[in-house]
Amino acid sequence: MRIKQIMLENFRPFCGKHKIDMTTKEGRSIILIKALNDVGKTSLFKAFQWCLYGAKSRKENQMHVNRSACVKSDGKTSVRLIFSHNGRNYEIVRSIDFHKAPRGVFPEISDEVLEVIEDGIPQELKTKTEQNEYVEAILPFDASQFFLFDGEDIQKYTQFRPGERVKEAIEMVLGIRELLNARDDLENIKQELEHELDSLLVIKSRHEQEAKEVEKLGKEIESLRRAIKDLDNKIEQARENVASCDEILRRDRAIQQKVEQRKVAEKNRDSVLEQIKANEDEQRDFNGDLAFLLVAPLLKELSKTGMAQVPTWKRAALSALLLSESDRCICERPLDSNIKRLFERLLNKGRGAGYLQYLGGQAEELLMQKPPEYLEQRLYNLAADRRNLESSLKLYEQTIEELDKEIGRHKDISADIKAAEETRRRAAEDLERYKAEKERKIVELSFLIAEHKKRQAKLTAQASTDKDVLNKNKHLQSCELCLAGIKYAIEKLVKNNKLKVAKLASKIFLQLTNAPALYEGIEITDEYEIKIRTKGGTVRHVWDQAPSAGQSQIIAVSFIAALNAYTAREAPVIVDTPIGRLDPIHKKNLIRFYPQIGPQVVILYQPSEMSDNDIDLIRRYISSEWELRRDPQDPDATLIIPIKRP
Amino acid sequence: MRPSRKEIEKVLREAEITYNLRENVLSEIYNAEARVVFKGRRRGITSTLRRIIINATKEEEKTNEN
Repeated sequence: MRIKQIMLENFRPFCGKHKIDMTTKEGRSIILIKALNDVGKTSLFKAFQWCLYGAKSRKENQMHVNRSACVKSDGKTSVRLIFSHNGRNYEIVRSIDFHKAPRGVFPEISDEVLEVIEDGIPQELKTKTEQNEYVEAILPFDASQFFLFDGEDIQKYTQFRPGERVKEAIEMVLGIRELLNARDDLENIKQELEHELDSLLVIKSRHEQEAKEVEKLGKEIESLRRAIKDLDNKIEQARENVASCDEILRRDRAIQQKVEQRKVAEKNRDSVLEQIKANEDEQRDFNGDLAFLLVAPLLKELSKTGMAQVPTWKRAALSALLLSESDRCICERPLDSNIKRLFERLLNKGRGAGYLQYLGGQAEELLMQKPPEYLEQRLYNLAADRRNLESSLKLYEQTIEELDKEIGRHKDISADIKAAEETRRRAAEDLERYKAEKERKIVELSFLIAEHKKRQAKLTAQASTDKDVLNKNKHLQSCELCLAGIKYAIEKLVKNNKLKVAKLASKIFLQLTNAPALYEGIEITDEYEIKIRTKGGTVRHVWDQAPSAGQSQIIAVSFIAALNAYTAREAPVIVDTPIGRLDPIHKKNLIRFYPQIGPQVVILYQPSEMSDNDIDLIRRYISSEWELRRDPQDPDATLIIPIKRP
Repeated sequence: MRPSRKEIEKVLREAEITYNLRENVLSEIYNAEARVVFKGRRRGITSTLRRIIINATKEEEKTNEN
């Protein structure tokens, strides 16, 4: 990195726009900037740091705004650094916008904005991380402490044990940034791989658990299938029961039907019997009519001739009929006492012409009402009815006999039917229940099968877990070996360089110290602790030596100079307060040494540190000289004025 | 005075032999890091290094199989 120009706008005491040309000529590495205290030396030093790395806080940014500028109006504070690095040209601008604010009040400011132009092409660095990474690649922040330093402040390297960051920074400037990055990245990858391996082991364990669960599920499915099979048997059994009941019911109902038929047949038979009885009664009436009809001609004749002409034997026949005391007439009709009395009265009447005439009249009427043709017809009808009824009776009795044979002993089967119906109902209920249960179990089974299939597929997909664990283990081992290899390389390279740095630091120290006779040189431990080796052979930590402030500064400068000599980073050295409290010998030695510290050295000094005589010592190495002077018009503003030497 | 590429390569090869690593695996890692340092953006470097490690493991397996 070689700075060409720095441009300041309303930055700290620099009101308005200012620029310093920092190009160095061949063999003239020094740029001197002179200023009294509190004029802007440290501000200019901070401008370099701010432009590259930004501020740590908003308050710091507010302090960067020039007070005079913000009292006047809204504006912008910016630092523009133009430099070349690794054959490319860069322009980095960091800026903040501020609002007008009264004197003594911090102005309202915007966020920092970083613009980067590389070889004339603006770079798109959207995030803070991208911006930091970009700048870090040019000059890492941690490494910058060895390039941009305060002459008095560097004593810290001799007064305290270096922390991890200092150690890292030293390793970084020793040119093994790539290896250090590789080490950090491999550490991260190792952690990632360990984490992934842990995750895989967890997955594997879960996978095994799931495999057990899938097996359990398989058993459940088998059990369910058996249950469904059992249900199928039960359903079959229930169906058979229902069918059996149906068969029994069919048979019983048939019997019941026959019982009913028998009852109907019995009823019909009884009806026929009643009809036969009525027919017999009618037959008897008919016989009476017939008998009367048989005696009607006689009675008619008697009524004509009178009773006197009726022979005695004929009357005797009537009397004999009455006297026979038979309870039946010749017409087979029963003869009760009333009829006998009637016959007696009629016989008595027949004794006279009046009775005979009465009987004769009756006979006449009878013949009129029931002529012989009618009686004949009736006789035939009665006979036919009787035949039909007897035929029907025979048929019904035959039917009853046949039904009796079929019905057998089952006279009333309704109880059996009821029992069979109850059994069938229960069997049908069982059947329905089993069917419903089977349906439920089939649904459950299909769900379990789907679940089993899904889990099985998942298991199959995870089947590579064992292989993954194996691979991950291999990757982890490989990563660990690579990490060990990189660490080995770092150690080796750092060790090599460290020896070189220590050797050079010793040389510089002996060149700068005011008592070279007392010391042999400087040693650097593995932890980058600086040790002083005295002529007597004693080796002590610098802090054990309790050196003076000046001596500490000389030791630190020696260390930093040696470090810079072996650095992989080509960067300018910008020194604020370069001399500090050094005695004249140290001061002279150090001033003479500064041109050797790097290819571009910017020295920010105050007049009492370096006189013109001191400057004359390095005059031939100076590329340009500048002076920071307070603006006589504005006590809050500093002017940058080039110093022209004859 | 940056350590020369030759010096770095030599040390890396020495490390590869010491830790029984596949030849050039550390050089590949170094080159990948050098590329991102040059580009100034570290995005993707972790996956690149992982790929190098995985490839190295695979190649080692192949060598062992043969």
